Amino acid sequence: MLRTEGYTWGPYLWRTTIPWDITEVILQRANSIRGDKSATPMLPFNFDDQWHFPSKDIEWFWGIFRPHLKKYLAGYSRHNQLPVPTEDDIWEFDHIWVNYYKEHDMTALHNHVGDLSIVLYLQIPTYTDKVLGTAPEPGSITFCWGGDKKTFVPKVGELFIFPSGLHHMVMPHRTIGAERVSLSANLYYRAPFNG
Amino acid sequence: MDSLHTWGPPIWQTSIDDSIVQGLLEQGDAIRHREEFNAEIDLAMNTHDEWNYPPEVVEWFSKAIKTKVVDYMQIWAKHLGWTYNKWLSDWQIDSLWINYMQKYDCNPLHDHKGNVSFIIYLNDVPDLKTEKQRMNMTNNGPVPGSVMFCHNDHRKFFFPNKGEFFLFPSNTLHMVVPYKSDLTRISVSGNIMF
Repeated sequence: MLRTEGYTWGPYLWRTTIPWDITEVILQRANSIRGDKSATPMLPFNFDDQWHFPSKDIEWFWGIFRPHLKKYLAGYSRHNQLPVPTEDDIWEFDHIWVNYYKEHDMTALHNHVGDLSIVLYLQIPTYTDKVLGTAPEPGSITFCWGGDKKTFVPKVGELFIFPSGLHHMVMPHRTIGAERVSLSANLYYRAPFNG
Repeated sequence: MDSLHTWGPPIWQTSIDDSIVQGLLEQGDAIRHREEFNAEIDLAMNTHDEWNYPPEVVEWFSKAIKTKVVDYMQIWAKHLGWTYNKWLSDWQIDSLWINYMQKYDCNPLHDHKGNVSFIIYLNDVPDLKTEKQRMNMTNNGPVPGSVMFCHNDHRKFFFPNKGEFFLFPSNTLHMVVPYKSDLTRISVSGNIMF
């Protein structure tokens, strides 16, 4: 029998799902800080409804996020043929913020600062947009590398982790009154990073 | 001697004569909203007001831009370290269409078929440069209406100006930043095959 294998490389983009009850708690926390400290001036969006989580929430969020980071780093190491990391406590969050997308809001192609970035979907509305031609779905996220791109239609609770330099964009929607809520964050590695 | 060597897709920014711009505008207005010229099915916009030019316009346009295309082929060959070959001059325009973009339209990240693609801007949209200030927005997003090219972890933005002509390898990913001003941004796109 002939043996075949596929080999891929490029940025290590990883997706998992967080249980809905935890996602709901994060959404409630996000809604409670909406309007407090704007994150808009640092962000490449075309709308102004992004809010920083306060620094006191970072430890709380670590409790949720740490096991997923550990899995990501194990996969990252395999992908890049690096030694498996032995500890995960030398990572730290730079910023954690929440984004409220209404109709026509979008994020053009951009990357992040830091070593790793995340996006977590807290609320996905039902869109009534008519999708035409080869347009991606409303509210989808597209990552690109070289001449390739990958588009995902996110669901509530889905968490993506990726190298911060990986460019991505968000497709706007046209459903009046529909609000899409996502959480984003950047992480730094406090030691030389083999990435 | 110090020298810096960069590579990536060779994007060439040049310009074309007003007469060509005017011809494309007039021919575009003549086919707009005529279903037989609808270009929607092949394109990535989230709303569609895009129309394929008929063969006679493609033929006229090919002759009109021939010297620019040959110049680009030479630039591209040099970029790749090739000797300029005769086959690079054996090309044809595979598709040519006009785009009428309105507020909120999104032309997301996409590439084209063919070997070389191009964009020509048919009107000026200076109001887009001041959109964020006029709408009291504080975000750090790119200038609305800009075209953004991407390769690996690099991007390049260009704000459109009437008569500007961009040529680039067809597989270069690019997008247009949407805008919220009540105006029409008109461009022509096309693909060239060797």
